[in-house]
Amino acid sequence: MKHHILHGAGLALRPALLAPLKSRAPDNLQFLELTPPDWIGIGGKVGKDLQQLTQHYPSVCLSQSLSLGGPGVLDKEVLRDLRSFIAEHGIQVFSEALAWSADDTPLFINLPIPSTREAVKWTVSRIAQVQEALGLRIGIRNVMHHMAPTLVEMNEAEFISEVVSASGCSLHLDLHALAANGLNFGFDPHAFLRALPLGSIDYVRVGREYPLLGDVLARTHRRVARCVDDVKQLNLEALTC
Amino acid sequence: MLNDFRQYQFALARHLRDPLSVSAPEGADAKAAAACTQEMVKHLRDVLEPAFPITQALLGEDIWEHAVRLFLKDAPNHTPWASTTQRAFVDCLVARLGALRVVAKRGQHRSSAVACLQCQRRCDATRGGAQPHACGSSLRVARAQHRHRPQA
Repeated sequence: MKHHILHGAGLALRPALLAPLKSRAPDNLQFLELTPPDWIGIGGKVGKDLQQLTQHYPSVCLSQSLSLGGPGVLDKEVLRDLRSFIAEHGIQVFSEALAWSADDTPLFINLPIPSTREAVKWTVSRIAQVQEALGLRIGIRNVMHHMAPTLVEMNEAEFISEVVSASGCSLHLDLHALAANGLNFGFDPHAFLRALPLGSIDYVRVGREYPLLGDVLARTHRRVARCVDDVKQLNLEALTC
Repeated sequence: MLNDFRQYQFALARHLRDPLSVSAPEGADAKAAAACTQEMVKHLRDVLEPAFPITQALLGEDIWEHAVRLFLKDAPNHTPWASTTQRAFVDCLVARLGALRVVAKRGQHRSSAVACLQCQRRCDATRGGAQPHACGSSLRVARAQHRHRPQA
């Protein structure tokens, strides 16, 4: 099992950020985060610019395209495209949404996986298939939802913990999504964090949720790579706490 | 209630793609499902609009949104990348030209009331018929009321 080498602060790269980043990159930028739908199949000048950046910085792939808990079969074409994307840009860390986002074709939304024991088994077996197809250990990430899960046998934190312990993958935290879900569905994000297997976390998307980041860093002794959405946020001291 | 969680997911997906013709599976919150459909349309528009600014302008807001919803409903097989989604959308537009023409004609002949393109509910403002639409659209209700407010 290869452990990744990311550390410090990263930036979620969007196509609009290519030009400013090319002209002047912030000094404390350590890595980039790429969302595959924005970049796969894009060639020309934009493709070349991206290639130059990923040669210079280590990269994380922030995917939500595999529909990990989805009812259909895993899309082999998506897996193949992701595998070549990983090879092309030297991706160090692969993060996939713990959600479902397709029946037999994309739904353009992340939906909560029904939290049943059967769904845990199903998701774990699909994580194993993905890891085998991509040839690396992946991390699963909590995402923002627009509806509460149905067929509930356990709460979301328990579901995440069961999937992580049964699959052996790492846990990636999206604090912005966690805070938004807490607000929408009326739960305490700090309590939610306490129920997660924080020892499995090696990657955190911060957004603007610095108090929650404090919670995570206080409870895990591992080195955690942190990613923000905005170039301006990279300079905040809070990121290095 | 569907026992198998995957059956439930397939049923929910069919409802989200076409909320008017396919009812929600038992246990699904109708309001949350409508919000999900809205979010799907919004996300899909974010993917498609940068690629087709001229088509979007030529079709106009109502027909464009109808085309996006038709694409969701038809669910042609494609990968989730922006480039392949845009290509699949073009194929869908071509295949569905007939349906879009009907929508366009209906738009031209709006008279005393306006039909919501999605749920076909007619908004008769003179009788204060501003009921929530099954498709979750409130924009079109507001617009219909505005157009047909009786002269004071």
